[in-house]
Amino acid sequence: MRLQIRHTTVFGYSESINEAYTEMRLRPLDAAGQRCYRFSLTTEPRGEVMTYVDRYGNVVHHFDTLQSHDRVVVTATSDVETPAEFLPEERELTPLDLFDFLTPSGYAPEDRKIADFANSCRHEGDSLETAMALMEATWKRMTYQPGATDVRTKASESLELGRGVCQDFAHVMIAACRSLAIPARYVSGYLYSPRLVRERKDAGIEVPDNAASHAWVDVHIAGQGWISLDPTHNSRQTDQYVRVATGRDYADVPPTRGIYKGNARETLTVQVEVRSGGLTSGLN
Amino acid sequence: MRPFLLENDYDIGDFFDEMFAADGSPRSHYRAIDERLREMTRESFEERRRQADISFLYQGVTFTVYNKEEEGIERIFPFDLIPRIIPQREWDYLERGLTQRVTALNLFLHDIYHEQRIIREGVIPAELVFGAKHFRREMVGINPPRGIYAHIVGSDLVRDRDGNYLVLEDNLRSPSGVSYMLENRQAMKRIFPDLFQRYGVSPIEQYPQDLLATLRSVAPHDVPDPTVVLLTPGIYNSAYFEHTYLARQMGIEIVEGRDLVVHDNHVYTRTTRGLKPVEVIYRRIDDEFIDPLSFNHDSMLGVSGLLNAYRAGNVTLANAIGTGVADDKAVYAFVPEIIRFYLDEEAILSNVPTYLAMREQDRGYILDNLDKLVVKSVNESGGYGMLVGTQSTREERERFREMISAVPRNFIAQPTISLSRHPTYQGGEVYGCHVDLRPYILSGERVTMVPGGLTRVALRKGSLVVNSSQGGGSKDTWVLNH
Repeated sequence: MRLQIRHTTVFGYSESINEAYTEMRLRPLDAAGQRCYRFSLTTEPRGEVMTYVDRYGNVVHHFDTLQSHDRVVVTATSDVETPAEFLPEERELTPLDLFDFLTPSGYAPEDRKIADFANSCRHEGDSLETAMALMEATWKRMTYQPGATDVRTKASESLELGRGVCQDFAHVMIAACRSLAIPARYVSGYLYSPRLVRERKDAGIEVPDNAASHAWVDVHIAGQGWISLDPTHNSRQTDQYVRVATGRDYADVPPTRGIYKGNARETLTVQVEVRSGGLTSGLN
Repeated sequence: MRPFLLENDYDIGDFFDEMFAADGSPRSHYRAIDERLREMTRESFEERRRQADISFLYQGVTFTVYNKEEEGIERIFPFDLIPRIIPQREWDYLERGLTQRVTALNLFLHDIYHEQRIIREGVIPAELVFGAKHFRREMVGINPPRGIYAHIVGSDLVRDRDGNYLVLEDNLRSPSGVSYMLENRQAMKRIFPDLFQRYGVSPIEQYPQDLLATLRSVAPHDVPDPTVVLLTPGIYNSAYFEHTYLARQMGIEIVEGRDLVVHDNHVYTRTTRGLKPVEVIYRRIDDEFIDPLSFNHDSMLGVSGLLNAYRAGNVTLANAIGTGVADDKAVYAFVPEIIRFYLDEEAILSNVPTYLAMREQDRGYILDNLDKLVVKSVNESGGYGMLVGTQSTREERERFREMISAVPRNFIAQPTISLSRHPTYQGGEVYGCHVDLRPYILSGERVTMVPGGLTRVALRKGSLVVNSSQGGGSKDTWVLNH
């Protein structure tokens, strides 16, 4: 599916600052059958935007703002072709990948309750079956409820609560997979689904401006490579998913990371539009 | 007037004594100093000692102690007048051994941040390297100039009961103490000007210039006349004296994080005449604090955006980020294998035998022998986080037993090495104190060392801990040119 994305981030400050550094992970990946034809990222105030590729293969755009300002607007637009189905990458895992995607991490810590939860889904000798069962179990166990958790919530906490958003669903499933020695990684990106947006609106659930931002999970299955699963919707990755970054957990892939000098308070506003043939939608 | 040196029946004890052979006669390379000391009266020795103290005080040669009773106290680093002497052939051997070791460790660092061959081939366990506190994922794929990560290494050498040199640990982050090495020499030259000529002591005064040449040799390629600065955490750091001293000796600027700014991936110093580019940073700030954008967000000491400028190849950091994984005390146990793997050679210098608590059979042995072993936390340095079994209390041992069982990866243990001793003048008498030796190895265009290093002395009678933060002192170290 051919999708166009416009991701606008506004950093506002309660008073003027004059030294800020910002990193953004917003460029759709060229991997797993997905192709990003065009990407641009501009800032206001204008400045040079530089890039690097991080350890997980994500493209990071970054810039500094060394002039007095109380607002920065970053506009990222992309034009991307998503594959009809997720194509597992052939690439074998490096020793570091294997370590990173099997070891508990900050958002997906080792936890007794998660281990018990994972064990209930175990299919002896078949890690794909196990991963699929974990996806379904996470989806059943957790209730989608914005506001129940925040950006710092760990898998152990959201599982205990039984509620959360896509980030929490993903972390629970990742922690569970790792506890059963199935390598798992966090995927951040977008989900284009006009139908689900409509359903949510009809159900009276507020759909925020950045609702198309989404997170899900890749699991690595021996002999098959990465398989991409979405525990929030109990679904494999389809052509409605746009992959932007992968890592051990959310901490490796935040869309924005920045630092500034001064005592000003920062407010962040994000708006995401995903279009295909004139349709607009967002959903997490 | 009585000769003082032997008046208290110097006791060699059951140790290797650096100065005296087992029969009590001075070793040949100490003979001249032995004679000189026998000629001296206690009064004249005391007088020279006083001169040394005053000179250290005037020079401001101090360090800061961190403990509960004396928080942030600045002390003069205690200095002992009797020099430690190393014959040339012994030094040649040490130099070969350390060059080999540092060369292999730099290859190891390059490998673990790139192909990870040593892990693929099963020589060292993945969790040991990737689970190390100082392994930095940010460094994966980054290519520092000349492939060098640890430009300045300080390895601690000790000698066992038979006089064999052993490497006790390597320091690949910001090894300190070199200013004491230089100041000790200056003081000795002032106090015993005639001795040096006569003795044939190799010079070490070129160290700052060697260091500067090393730093310049690893500048980003296209810079003909690179600007080098020293980045300090500031006056509250225990080694701040050394930072100012080295900067002055090298003729470079000493800066704090707030003096630097990154713009469009280039680093500048803020001067009264605007921004001035910087190409090489000799940094004495730990990884965690060096760039709040990439590491500890709350750090006020670092420079935002520095890692990105470094990754872009516009500035060199010495040492590189992520070198601490190679001085992790569990990784240390594998250095002989690391040398074999990259250089296809046997290690010239041996390690102290080391038990890894992460290995089940080693752990059992450690827990059964806590009263005999020295247990070390793998990430700590400066003598902190350590249990000296033979001198420990039952409570201390129980505390370590719990910590080891909780996180085995974080602990190693070694047998108590009977460290060599050296005659040392303390409180009016000369007695044997345990010593170690920290030479400084520079890696740039080539690997170089000044002949010598910092000899640290455990001044407390019977103490095995030589760290300055733990009541240690130091001596001038003479490497002979014959």
